[in-house]
Amino acid sequence: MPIVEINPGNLRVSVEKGSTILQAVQKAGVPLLSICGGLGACGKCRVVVASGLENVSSLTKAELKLLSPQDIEKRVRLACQARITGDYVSIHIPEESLIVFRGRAIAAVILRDDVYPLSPTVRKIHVNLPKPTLEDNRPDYERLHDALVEVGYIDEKEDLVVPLGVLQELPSILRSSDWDLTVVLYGRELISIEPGDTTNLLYGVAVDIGSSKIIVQLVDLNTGETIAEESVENPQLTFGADIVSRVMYAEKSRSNLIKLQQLVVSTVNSIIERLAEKSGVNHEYIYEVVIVGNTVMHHLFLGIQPGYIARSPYVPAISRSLRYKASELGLTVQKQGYIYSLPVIRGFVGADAVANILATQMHKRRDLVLVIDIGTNTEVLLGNSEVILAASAPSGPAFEGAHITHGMRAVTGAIGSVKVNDSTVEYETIGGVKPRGICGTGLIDTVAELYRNKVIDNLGKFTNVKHPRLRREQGKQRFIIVPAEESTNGVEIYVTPRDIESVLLAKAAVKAAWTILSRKLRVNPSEINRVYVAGSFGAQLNVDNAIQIGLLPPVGREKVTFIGESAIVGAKIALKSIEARREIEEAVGTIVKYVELSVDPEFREVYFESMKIHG
Amino acid sequence: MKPVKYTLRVNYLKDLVNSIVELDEQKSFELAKRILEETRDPKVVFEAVRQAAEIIGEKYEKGEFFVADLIMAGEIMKTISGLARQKLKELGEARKIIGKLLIGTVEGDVHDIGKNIVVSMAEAVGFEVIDLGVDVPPSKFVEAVKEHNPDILGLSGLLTTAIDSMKKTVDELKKAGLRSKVKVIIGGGRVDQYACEYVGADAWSNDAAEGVKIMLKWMEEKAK
Repeated sequence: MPIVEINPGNLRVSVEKGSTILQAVQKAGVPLLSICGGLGACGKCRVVVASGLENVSSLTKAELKLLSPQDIEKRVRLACQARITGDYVSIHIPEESLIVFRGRAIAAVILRDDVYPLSPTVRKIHVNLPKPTLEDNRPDYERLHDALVEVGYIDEKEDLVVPLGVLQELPSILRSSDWDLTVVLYGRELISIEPGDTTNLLYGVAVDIGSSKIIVQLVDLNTGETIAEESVENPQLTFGADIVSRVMYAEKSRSNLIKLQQLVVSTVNSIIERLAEKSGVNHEYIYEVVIVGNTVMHHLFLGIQPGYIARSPYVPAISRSLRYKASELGLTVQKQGYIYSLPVIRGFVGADAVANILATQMHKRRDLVLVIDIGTNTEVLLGNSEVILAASAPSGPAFEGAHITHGMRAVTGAIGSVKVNDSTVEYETIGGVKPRGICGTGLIDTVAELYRNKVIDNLGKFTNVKHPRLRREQGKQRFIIVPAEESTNGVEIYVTPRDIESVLLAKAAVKAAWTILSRKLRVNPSEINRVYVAGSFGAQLNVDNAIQIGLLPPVGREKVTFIGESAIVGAKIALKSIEARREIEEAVGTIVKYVELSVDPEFREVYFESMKIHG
Repeated sequence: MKPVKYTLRVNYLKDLVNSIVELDEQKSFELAKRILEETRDPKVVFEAVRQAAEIIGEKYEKGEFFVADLIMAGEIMKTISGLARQKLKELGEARKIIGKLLIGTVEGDVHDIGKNIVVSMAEAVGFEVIDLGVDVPPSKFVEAVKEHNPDILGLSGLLTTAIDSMKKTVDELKKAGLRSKVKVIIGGGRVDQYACEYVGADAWSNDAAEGVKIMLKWMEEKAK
């Protein structure tokens, strides 16, 4: 069967001859825009045939109408019109053709959140109580209790916890509802009594508090479906992009700490409000909020001083899972509702890493799984159902574009992929606009491509190879990726030897982490069965190049999966299943072992060795 | 005989400088040994190390050398300076110490790769170095300043929080009335002019070779 290669993402799918490119893309799970549903009417499913144009059917009438001659010259086709007629076609999907989600395209595989049977902590039971009479004048609570015993929800001897607020309203609600009501239980606690039958209104919220982005999803706990979601920039960003500056701000005074906490709480509240409104859900029917985040975000959200995390010996206040009344933190959900936080592992391996374990289910798998969540501190998890080693690699902000001459974050205008040819350089920017700078994935491509073309050696240094883009200015070498006339502000975009070194130092930290964890498990990194790359960074990552420079272990590219922002998936799994919570709490207490790299005797040597490209 | 020996020494010097800059550990080691045997003049070796350190610093500045090279060069320079010092001892002399450097990674931070490069380069150019290691609390720095009476105090750290620890250390030093006794230089990936002023240091650098150059200049000024 013909093979279709899809980029960005390096995906390969095989399809029947005669299939449309749209069918191939859909098979690969890439969310290509197709407003008209494949009728050739909207012209939104534009793709570029990078190679194998001869293996694609000729232009249809619809394409001739919707594509300009320039488009056609650039080999743009409409995915729903172009059919595959030969053995191999490689296509590139421009960002504007992807269904944009949270401001950027997803090329990531979204992990499943329905791996456990639905069993939320909150349950609703609809009951009809017999009206009290002089003959049957049991108190209201006993009457309710007995009814629950009758329907088999609790044992006769079992008592419920009744918060004072609920008890104060109990008599009037029972009567105003004419004894027809719904009881809401959170474990053994009676958290709400609602008139009539509200069993179909049962919601929860999953929150991922990232250092740069907060993601909130509203979940129907009767069906397990995610019904609405939104994400925004973390408002704490104004107090520093890196978390350590926020820590330093927070430890200056109690009021600073509260300010950072409130910024997140009010943001989460306003998103919940918008999501509820959008989906017609009353926030009174949202009973639980599950949060995940790195340890500093976790502490700041709970209003715990994070200062001790950021300094040696990097100690967090607590690691186990936590449960508090949402009202204690000022979250506007059901007033007796709860907030649940997944456990953290250590100061630099937080609840987001635990959520990644849940999302990948690595704690239940027999094959060897590696999870890498790339950021300023890269969390690395390696293991399976027997043991999971967790470490934090000090990769620094190079992959986020910081401390790089023309570095920038992965936003519109950033060069996300680069290809170096004998005399030219090809690149693509996020959003397909003129380039402004280069982001992490573009840097990885640059280093790998320069090495492949022998412009740099395995230490990352420029060799004697002549390349028209290699120039020397005031005795300093630079490799030009974008000539001045092609960039947004008319300035050359280039990399210096120091930039290349920064990328190599960053990857050396990550490589040293998975190398040491592999050694501890007595396995060769090439034997790792599955590699998951998490974080917003992953989306445009060229796997071959990441393997080439040694950021990822030398496994086949088919073993590497981008899981994007997967921590929210883990949060959602915990929201929907008590079983999942029990499992992950137990795993964190037993099979998950933290490895402190900064004092590991092997770290230094392995780190130096890992700076090489073929180390 | 004399002119011949003179030419020999010049070539030796040049060869040794080149072999260090080429990061050829074996060749540097052998050359240094031969120089010490034949000329019985350890100064040639020290001079070679000084010149090599300067070239290496320039190469790093230009981007021709990376951190890994500095580490390698540091090791080579340490080894051959050790050889030369041993020879001096045999000759019943001691190397002239150009200055005393007290250095350590500040409290709350355990990163020491950069600090170690500075240590080996500073030793190579003739500093006596007292290295307090990592995660050094301000009080320990103050005690060590009292005990060793160094010319220069070097505070190193990679983490952003290290800047605060550097400031604390300098503040403690002021409290103890020792601030005017030493020059303070801060180093690490996150330090800059702003951090330098905030900390109350005399200089800053995030380049080991440049840092050593600054310290050499201080010692020259002091000698005047």
